[in-house]
Amino acid sequence: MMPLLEIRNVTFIVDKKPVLDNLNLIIQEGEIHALIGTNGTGKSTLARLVMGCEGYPINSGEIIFVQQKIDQFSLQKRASLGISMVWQEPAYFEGISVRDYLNLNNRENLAECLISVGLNADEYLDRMLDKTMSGGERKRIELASMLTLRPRLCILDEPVSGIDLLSINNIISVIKQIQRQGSTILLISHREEIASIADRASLLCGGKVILTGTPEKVIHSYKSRSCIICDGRECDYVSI
Amino acid sequence: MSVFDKFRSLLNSAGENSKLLEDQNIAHIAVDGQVLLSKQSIPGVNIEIEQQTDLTIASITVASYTQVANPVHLCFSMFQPIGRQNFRVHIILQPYAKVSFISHGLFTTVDTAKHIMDKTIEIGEGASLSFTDSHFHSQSGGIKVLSSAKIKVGKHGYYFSDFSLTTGHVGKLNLEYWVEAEEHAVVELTSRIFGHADDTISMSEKVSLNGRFSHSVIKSRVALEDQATAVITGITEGCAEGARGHMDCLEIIKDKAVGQSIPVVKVCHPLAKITHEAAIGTIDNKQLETLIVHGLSPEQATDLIVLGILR
Repeated sequence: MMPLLEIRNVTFIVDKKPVLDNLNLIIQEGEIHALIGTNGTGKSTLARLVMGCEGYPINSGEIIFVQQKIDQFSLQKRASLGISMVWQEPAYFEGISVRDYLNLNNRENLAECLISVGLNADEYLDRMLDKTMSGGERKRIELASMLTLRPRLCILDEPVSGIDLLSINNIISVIKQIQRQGSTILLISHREEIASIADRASLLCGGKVILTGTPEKVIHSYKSRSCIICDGRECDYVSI
Repeated sequence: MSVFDKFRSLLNSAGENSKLLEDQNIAHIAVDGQVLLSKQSIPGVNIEIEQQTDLTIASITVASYTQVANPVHLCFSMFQPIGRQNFRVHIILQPYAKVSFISHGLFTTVDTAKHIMDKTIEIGEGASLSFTDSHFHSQSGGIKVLSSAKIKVGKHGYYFSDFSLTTGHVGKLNLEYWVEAEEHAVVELTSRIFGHADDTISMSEKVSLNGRFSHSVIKSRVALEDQATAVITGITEGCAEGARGHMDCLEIIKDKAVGQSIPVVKVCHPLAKITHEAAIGTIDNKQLETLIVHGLSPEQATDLIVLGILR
């Protein structure tokens, strides 16, 4: 495998405080890479930085995608290179149906993609992506859109938030399906059962990646390390 | 081409099938300027027209317990580039009647004109009226629309109205609706307007929930670009036990356009509740970024979001 995404010494400062502090991370092509850490450690911030969302310019460091420096690229340019993202709380749209939305990518297997995420195509294709839809339904539609879009890098920010417990296995199978279709996945989650499906995992603490390895090893460290409660103060003492 | 043929052509371009004007099962009025082109009553739906020099009055009565299968069509056009159309419509739904109206304002060839529409609607006990009013304007911006309606919704009655003006330039729009709802009546008012250039939009919708357990929703969706301006006033009064009202105004603003929303909430019964929400501003950034992530350009994403709220 070769690196698809390299994040080199990236620092992102908000109100004079580093949210991400000289962070390094390598995502290999074809893998599911879980990024775990407690609330507020910068997981979602990192996702937005990679995607190039407005208000998330890095202060220093480099983001390399397929050996190309992309940290000055617009979100549109990054999307055109094949980077895509599912937000933790996806946007709602009035007057745009599920069919319209999935059709943005001009794919033909819309019904199959909906079935994959546990939704009945007859019931959902003509429904609007507005607030009549629950958070869980909206999240499933977003995952279905990744199946139609087939991005080269798919960033999933807390893909099971809002999903009922009984459906988590279904979402796990969808994530694996996205991978089988050829996407590399950056999987952001603090849930053990989700992170454990990854090929590799990294632990984020105090704005730094402090450990990368097998999911078992990283989850064990996550659960046992004092960094869970250290609020970042002790992260420097953990060696990678 | 005769005026009637032109009329058919306009109706077709508005997405309707002009053959409805020959259908014996569809009640309709077709008017160009002040000239009545065609009218048809059907069993249960009686239409009377009175024509004065500069005013046309239509009285439409739907008989008790009549459930009208096909929508009643009210079609208005102005072929002359300069003109004036003054119309008054009285609609009476007798108890337990059920009907829908589709009104077309076909003003796509107008340069400078005024369209005045004054409606009074009485919805009897248990009766139901759905009124869709779609305007199609030219690009001139020279049309002035003054539309007012006074509606009374009886006990257990239902009134739904959907006004849209998203094709062509609005020109000047002054729209005033006033609805009174009796016990257990339900009122839904929806409006969708797209303002461009120097368009000026003024819309005031007032619902008085006078009856116990009467409910209402006022939903306004406005997109503005260039130097267009809009003042959207929503007024809901809850004056009875169990009255529930909600107002929801969304305005998307681009360029130098100016949008204003004025919600007025009045509650005069301790067991009534009225809520409102308003959002005015540019396109939501998360919506925009989500669509860009799915391969659209920022311009395409903006257009899709605007089209969506006006749909």
